[in-house]
Amino acid sequence: MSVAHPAEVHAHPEMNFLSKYFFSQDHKVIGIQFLFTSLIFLVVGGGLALLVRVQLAWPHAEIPLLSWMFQDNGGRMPESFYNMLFSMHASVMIFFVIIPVLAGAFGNFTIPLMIGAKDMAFPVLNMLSYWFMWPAFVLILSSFFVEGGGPAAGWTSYPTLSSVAMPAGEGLQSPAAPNSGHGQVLWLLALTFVGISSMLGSVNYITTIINMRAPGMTLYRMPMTIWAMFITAILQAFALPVLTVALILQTLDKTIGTTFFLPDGLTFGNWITGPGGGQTLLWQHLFWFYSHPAVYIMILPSMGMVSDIISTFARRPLFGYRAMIYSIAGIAGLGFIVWGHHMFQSGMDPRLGTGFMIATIMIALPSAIKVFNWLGTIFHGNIQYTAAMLFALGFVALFIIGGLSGIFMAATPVDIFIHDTYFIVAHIHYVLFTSSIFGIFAGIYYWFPKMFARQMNEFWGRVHFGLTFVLANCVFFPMHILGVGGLRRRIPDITASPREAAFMPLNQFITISALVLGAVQIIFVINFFYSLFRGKPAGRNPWNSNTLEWSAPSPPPHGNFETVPIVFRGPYEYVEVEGHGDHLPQTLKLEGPAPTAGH
Amino acid sequence: MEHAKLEHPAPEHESKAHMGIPLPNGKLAMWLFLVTEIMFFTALIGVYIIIRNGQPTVRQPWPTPHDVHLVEWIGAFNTFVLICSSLTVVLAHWSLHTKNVRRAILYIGVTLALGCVFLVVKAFEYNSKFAHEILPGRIFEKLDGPYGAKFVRHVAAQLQEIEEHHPNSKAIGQVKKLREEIGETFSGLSPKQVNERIVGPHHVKDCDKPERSFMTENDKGILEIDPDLHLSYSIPFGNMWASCYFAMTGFHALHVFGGLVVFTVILVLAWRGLFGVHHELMIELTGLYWHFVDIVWIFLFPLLYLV
Repeated sequence: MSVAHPAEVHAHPEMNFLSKYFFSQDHKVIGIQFLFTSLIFLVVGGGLALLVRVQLAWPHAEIPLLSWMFQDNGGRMPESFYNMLFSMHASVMIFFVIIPVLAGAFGNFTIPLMIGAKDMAFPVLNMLSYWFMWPAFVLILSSFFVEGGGPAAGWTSYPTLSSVAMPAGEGLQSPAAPNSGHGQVLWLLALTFVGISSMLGSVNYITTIINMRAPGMTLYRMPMTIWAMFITAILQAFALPVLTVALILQTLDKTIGTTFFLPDGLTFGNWITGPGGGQTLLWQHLFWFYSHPAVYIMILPSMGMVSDIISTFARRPLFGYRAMIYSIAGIAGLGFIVWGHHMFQSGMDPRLGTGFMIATIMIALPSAIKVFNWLGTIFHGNIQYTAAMLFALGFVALFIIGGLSGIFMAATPVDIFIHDTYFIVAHIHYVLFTSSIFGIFAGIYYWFPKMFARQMNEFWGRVHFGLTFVLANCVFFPMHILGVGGLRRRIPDITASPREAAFMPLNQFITISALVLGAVQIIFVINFFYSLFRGKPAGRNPWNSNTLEWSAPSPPPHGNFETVPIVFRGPYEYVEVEGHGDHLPQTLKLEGPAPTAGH
Repeated sequence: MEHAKLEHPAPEHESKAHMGIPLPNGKLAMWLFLVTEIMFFTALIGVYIIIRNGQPTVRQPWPTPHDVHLVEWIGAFNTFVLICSSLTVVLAHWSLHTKNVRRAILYIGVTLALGCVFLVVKAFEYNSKFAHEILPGRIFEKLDGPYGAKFVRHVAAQLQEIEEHHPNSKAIGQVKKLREEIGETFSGLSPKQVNERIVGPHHVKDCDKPERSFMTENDKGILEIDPDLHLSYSIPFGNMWASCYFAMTGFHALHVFGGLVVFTVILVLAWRGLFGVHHELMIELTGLYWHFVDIVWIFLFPLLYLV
């Protein structure tokens, strides 16, 4: 034991229950807090989605369980309620599930462990970034219950629908959209808090990754998960403040009578809005300047985690490690100059649209590099089909579909045809559900042993994957057909138009698949909680993985490592070496010439 | 296998606890925080530029500082105050660097005082906006249709108020005349004619010129005679101007206030005898933030007061 670094990990004072589980400054506890709250919101968001599907498939039927709410309407769902459902489904899933799970939960849990640090650079700031989510949780949930109901202007909250306000002193209830009164204001404030939380988190992540790496952990020895988290944090730091400004300005529009996003001379019924002078398109530019990079904030961490998982379970070095890093950076960089492709139909100058189109299609290049590299990694691999690996492979397979439909949307002439149809619904769900969420499932199955020192049940994990994979495709693939057929999105009753009514059978098939897909997730929930208490105890390194977190005890104590780990090699050296099995942990120092970890 | 590392400590790394760039975490994080702040104010200023260059035309121009009671020299004075405070915060850092704690505390106190001067001046400016109703949603900027009738009623009430409370005003004759001409039914003059009486024929914007004017070149508007009277008049894009002005200067003032809180904390530490040379990094980071606040104002001042 000639280790140069004295172990300081046991210097932490004994903590009581409250400071250990609630006001913890330990990055692992904070990550798990983010994980649990986001999984609760996943249930909320999923429930909203199922209600949307039920209404779409049986538009004239009474809504089961909720018909008591709609007695004025004969038990059927009012259209404004449907608008609220899809608006809140998207808002909850994006801002309260995917971003907090990826950046908040996995970012927090993995970053210090995988770079060999004791904790984040600023543990108190880290704790605050979680507790700043709570005002957001309270605000977004209470928006369901205020007068007029939850916000219903879509998750994009385009003015004028969202932001027309009554003259000062006459309440917040908007004459333009029945649901964009109080609920909309709460939505705006909730997202502002999410933004503050993410901003604190991103500053912390960047500082930690730059300055807290273990000795020997050079930038090019960092696992892809860390690279992805690093670049995601940079995206957040640069893009989020712009959304914060947009949210604040819309809040001012709704409450104190400014008109940043309201033009002159709007009339609603008998009522004329006050003098405006603002610009509705300005909101769209500000919103998408953040929300397009946000699309990459929601996919890049999944890509990083999937890279680690695929390499581990294929028992092969990650193919093209540096190309993977550069392609993530390329996606992030291009992500800043493509926001206009959400606005091809807004009356934008076609010459500007062409620029946005070319930049957008260029993103296919780094994305394709990543897909080919994943395929190159599993090629000739000794693949272990664990649940985590299956979800990672599912990610790769379905990301290809989502990526390809993205190229359709990016091309202006095609976009004009399929804009605001179910094609975009199919696209967004292929990249967010079957990619981001698959990556999240893969990450949970993969890091569960490290988080809770027990393993999840592999058999039920595989069943969960098989059913989810098939049903997700049953739900989302037919939407491409609906979209190209011309079915508009955000329409509560498709029987109103005979052309769209013809899509009813396919719509009902989607809804039934969605209901089963929702039910299948119960397998995951039971597996998760059963394994939490009764799962097979996991040692330090159940997957024989190379990265640093697996050299710490499971679960890692406050302070993570017994001794400061020293890194001697890259993260993906899965090669047969005499006496070391098929993997070489990053902390392993070999005598003699280095093994060929060749790609 | 996980113990393998224990047998192979790397001598070349022994001196370093972890890798990174030669910059303290706090300083790195402060720069990153300032990056997010720069993006925040960039978005605000961007909104202002887009709105200002979007709809205003030559006939219906963006308000001049005179239209909205903005006084250039007050803004310039505030700019000077903030630049001085940036200097004093640097001097505080330098004093601490040269181990002169007492002088550092003195300079922090001066910085705090200058910041307070800035906010007090800002408060007077805001007060004058409130007094003249230069507030978002409160400014009359259209004189046709329902807005015009509303404007005339509002002016009639203000005129009555002036007659009752300011009978010694230099313009009381014109005030009485205008009120009589508007009449009990508010139909004596068109809204544009009322507006012209108030601001005078030279200051009426092209879009607000009445079809028939009863005023000659030599006539003066009521506010030209007595600028202190509280009378509303048409300011095209006034609401948008006020929205931008309060959003931009308001968020800047909040940042100034945040800095003052930090300076106050430092002074409290000093008063309790806890402040010393070990706070050098803290002073440096506070100074970075304070310079940023200063630079934002250096952008806001010309954008709002001069161009």
